[in-house]
Amino acid sequence: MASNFLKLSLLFVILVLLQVLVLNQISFLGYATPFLYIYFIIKLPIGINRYYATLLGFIMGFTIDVFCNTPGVNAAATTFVAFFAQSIQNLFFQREDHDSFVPSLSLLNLDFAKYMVTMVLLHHVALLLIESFSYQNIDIVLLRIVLSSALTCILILAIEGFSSKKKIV
Amino acid sequence: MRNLIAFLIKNGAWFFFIFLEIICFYFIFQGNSYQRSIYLNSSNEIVGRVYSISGTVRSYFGLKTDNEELLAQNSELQKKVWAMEKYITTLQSDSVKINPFVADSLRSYDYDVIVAHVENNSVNKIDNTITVNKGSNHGVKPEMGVVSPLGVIGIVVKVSPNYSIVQPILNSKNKLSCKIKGTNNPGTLVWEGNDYRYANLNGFPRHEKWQKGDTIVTSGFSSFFPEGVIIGKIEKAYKESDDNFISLRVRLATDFSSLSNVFILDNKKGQERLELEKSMNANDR
Repeated sequence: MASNFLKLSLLFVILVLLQVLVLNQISFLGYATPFLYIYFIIKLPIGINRYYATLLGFIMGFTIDVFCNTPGVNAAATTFVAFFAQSIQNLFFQREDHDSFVPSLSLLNLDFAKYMVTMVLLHHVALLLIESFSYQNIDIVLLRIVLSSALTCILILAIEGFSSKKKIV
Repeated sequence: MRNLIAFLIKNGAWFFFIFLEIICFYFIFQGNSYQRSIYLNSSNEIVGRVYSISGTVRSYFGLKTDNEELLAQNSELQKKVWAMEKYITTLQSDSVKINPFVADSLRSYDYDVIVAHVENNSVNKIDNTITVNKGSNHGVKPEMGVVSPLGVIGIVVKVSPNYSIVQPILNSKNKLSCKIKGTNNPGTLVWEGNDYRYANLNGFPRHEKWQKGDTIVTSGFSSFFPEGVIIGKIEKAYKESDDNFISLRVRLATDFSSLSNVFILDNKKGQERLELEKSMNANDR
């Protein structure tokens, strides 16, 4: 449990720094910006207390907000996703898997991919809708949602690929 | 009560979630001016529309009182207009102070004013004339300047005991020395003979600055008029055949088609000045 907590803290710091220092500068094709920090919520152990998950989502989003100077926007979206993470896990994972473990590609394969894509999509829809906050230019917002989600998913899959290889070696 | 507590505990995560989201949206509206502006604008729009609808409905109920107020106001104003008109007519008969002179009252002190009424007037000929009802019996002499409250009219050319003929600007023989207000470049104002609302300022140096709407005033170089009597305003410019000069089209300040009272200017020192200039010319010969 303690090592789990340490790992999560380390992941939190790395993701925040990566997001704030590198990924926020990316504007692929002028539309897509990956929001990789959602990976932290995806990697929360299954079976974690729902209060903790929601609170962690709030803290994560709020930390990003503090750096991005957008109070509340990221926090609202991330809290939302963190709260519903358990319901989405119930959709894709079998009941037997429900011990306390960290979801990963090497462990769950396709199920993890489905879970991950759903989370990312939910988060990006919430985030970009709150950010644009109007129905004007809805086509551009939708394009941003799709492109950003794709970019974030590719990044997460790449990271998962690396970590699974390490485990084999 | 116990049920309520049980309900709260059971759905505690939901309340926690909603609580956190409320905090987030509080931050969103507090901290982000963009979202706040949209929120306020849309709410303002809705509120404004409701108010405007209720306002249009309510305004119909007030129409009757509004009408009565307007009528009362109207009659009050009409009374004032009549009083003013009466006052103006009394002033016109014995006034010495004339609008065009106000800016230059010191110079105009040299001039006596004879108030006359226009008896006959034309604007549609090439050489127009104006007949006024004051003549030599009232002290009118040829070569006196004539102005209206709005601006320059012309020069007295012929005098009988009780009448005199004025040669207005609207006469091809009339050449009036003038300048742009505030500068000292004299030009000559002539009338082309077509439109009684316009005259031309010819021989204006090309390098001099002018602007549309500048006021043209008399130069004071002739003894007929004091300096600074309004003639009109610049409308536009033409090129002359000589490249060094331009013509300025001047919209006349006086409406020659509707003249009633005019002021004949008697330059008390004009005679002296004319004699001096004549003697100088005689010496030249």
